[in-house]
Amino acid sequence: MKILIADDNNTDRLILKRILTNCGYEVIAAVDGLEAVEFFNDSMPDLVLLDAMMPNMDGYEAAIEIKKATGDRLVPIIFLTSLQEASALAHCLEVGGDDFLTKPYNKIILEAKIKAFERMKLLHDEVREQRNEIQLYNDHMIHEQEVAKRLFDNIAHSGNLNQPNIKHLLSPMSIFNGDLLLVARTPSDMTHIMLGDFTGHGLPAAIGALPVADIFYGMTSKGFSIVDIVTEINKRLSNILPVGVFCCATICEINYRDDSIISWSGGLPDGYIARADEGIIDNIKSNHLPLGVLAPNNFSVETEMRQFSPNDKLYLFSDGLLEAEAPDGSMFGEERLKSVINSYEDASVNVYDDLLKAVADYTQSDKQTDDYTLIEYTIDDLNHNIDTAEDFSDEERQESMEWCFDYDFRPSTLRQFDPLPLVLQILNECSGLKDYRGRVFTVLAELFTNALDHGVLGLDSNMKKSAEGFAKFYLAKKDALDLLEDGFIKIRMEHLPDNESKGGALHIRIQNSGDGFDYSQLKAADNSFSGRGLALVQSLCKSMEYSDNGKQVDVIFDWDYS
Amino acid sequence: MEDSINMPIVEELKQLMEEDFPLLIETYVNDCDARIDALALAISNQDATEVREIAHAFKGSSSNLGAEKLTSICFRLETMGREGELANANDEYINMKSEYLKVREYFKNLL
Repeated sequence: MKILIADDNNTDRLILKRILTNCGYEVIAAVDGLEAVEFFNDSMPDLVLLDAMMPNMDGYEAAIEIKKATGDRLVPIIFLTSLQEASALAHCLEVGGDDFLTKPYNKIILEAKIKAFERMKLLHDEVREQRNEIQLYNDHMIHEQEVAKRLFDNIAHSGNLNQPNIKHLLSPMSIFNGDLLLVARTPSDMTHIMLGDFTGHGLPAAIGALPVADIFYGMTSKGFSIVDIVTEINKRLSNILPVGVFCCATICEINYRDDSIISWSGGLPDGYIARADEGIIDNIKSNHLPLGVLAPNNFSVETEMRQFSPNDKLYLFSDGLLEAEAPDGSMFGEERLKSVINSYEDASVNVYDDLLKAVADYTQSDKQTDDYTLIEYTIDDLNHNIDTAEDFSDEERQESMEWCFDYDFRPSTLRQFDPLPLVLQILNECSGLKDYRGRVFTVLAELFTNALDHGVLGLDSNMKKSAEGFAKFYLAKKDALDLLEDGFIKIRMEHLPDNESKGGALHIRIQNSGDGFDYSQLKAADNSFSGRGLALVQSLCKSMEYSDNGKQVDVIFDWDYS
Repeated sequence: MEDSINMPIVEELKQLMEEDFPLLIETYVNDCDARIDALALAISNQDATEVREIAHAFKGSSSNLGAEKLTSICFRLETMGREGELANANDEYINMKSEYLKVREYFKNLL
């Protein structure tokens, strides 16, 4: 340790220097305040002993200068004085001195004081070092979070979240609160929505979001149903997440054609469906454990189906909304939330804005609290019109080719998985048909569903006409599939290129093992169909014909590069 | 000499300073020789501030070396200087000079 001493009295300085040298300190001796400041800047001592009264610059002034030069280092200053008046001693401390010693020197007291300051200085240096380390670590962490956020934004882009019929609240750094909001369109023009809330904060919460978004977008674009998507997400999360980390989530599939919503919910608060002029008509209850908790073989993918019609509104949110706190610590809660959503019994009310305001008023915070995630989804007329201009185009154009394939699906296959994404994938590989993927998928999905529901399973399509019937139909389908022992659905696809238009004609034939039906009932005098989604299919295809007592349907789908 | 000098302090200083003890004595004597003349001048000039400052420095050095009687005379002169009351300063100075000469003699003999 280096000590600077300043004393104009030669004998005092000699004695002091000797005492300190004998104690093992390195001593720098100055004869006045001016020299003390100069030596201080040159040699950066650890401790300063200043005589109060000195010529040129006295100890008080020197102390002020020295304190200015120390920055955030602790360099204790001890005044040496033979002055006895309390006011003079107090002045020593006022100018920044840390202590004082009265002359003549007592060797023992001097040594003890220096030792005490040495300990204090070590402690201070340690604290300072730790503070700097924490600062460094914090900077590093923020940098890492920014990098992670960029990475995440690339994978979990906002999807279709910015459609005009969606209103949502999601903090920019929500990923580190563990909140996730994903929206995507399926090839058959349904919408998938997922609201997820991971346990925990920071990177551990964010890391699980990456595979979830990847699976959600990837499988949705390939035409997989939410049953398959939920199964896959749970499987992946249960593999990668540590014990105690999981993802509360609600996943919905909104089908504009039959005005339905299929949902799976685990661990999140109830979602609500509100109808114009009626208020809340239904709630989406969590009836599963969160994603990532159960091993794949114990996981239940049972979904629920409800009516969801134009101008109905769907509300999903994370529990942060219910737990928004008033200054006295009480929570916003379900009742307040429901009463705001119920105000939709007057269809002119802007429920979403009212809800944000109600929470802000309740918490009495100026900023809208970012601790929750909220989405309002409305089917509007725009969505109801099927948009076939989805951007699935591909740069590479090949000559279209002539091919044909047959698929024969048996009960065990029909029970276990949806074969349509597989079929669609094959179409993608084959030709420039990619641009027509959405339309082809829609046609296939409608015809396949008809073949399965009303053909192989023999379910009555009239059941779906009422809200209760909807749910019943859905359960009946499950039961029938479980019990299915015989039966088949055959899909034959044949492609004939048209060299003039550089396009071609896709001939799809779907046969089923059911009892058939009187298709003439669905056919009007002008040959147009209604019911069972057939009007839509007919509008997308060049021709559609039923045969074999309704057990076989043939459609021809024309396409070109125009 | 015991009424002028605190002997244990001097013993302690010797042990502390070791080979530098003569340097300390020399420094003390040189400084004080200069101060004793300066003090005489200050008193004849009736310069109270100067009297106070010189007496203060004289006192500090002397107390360190255990010259206790000299220290108390210096203290009285310093007080006169601070209070601006120099009427008895000359008498005190005469006292001080004779005490200083005794102390100086003692230290010189130690070397």
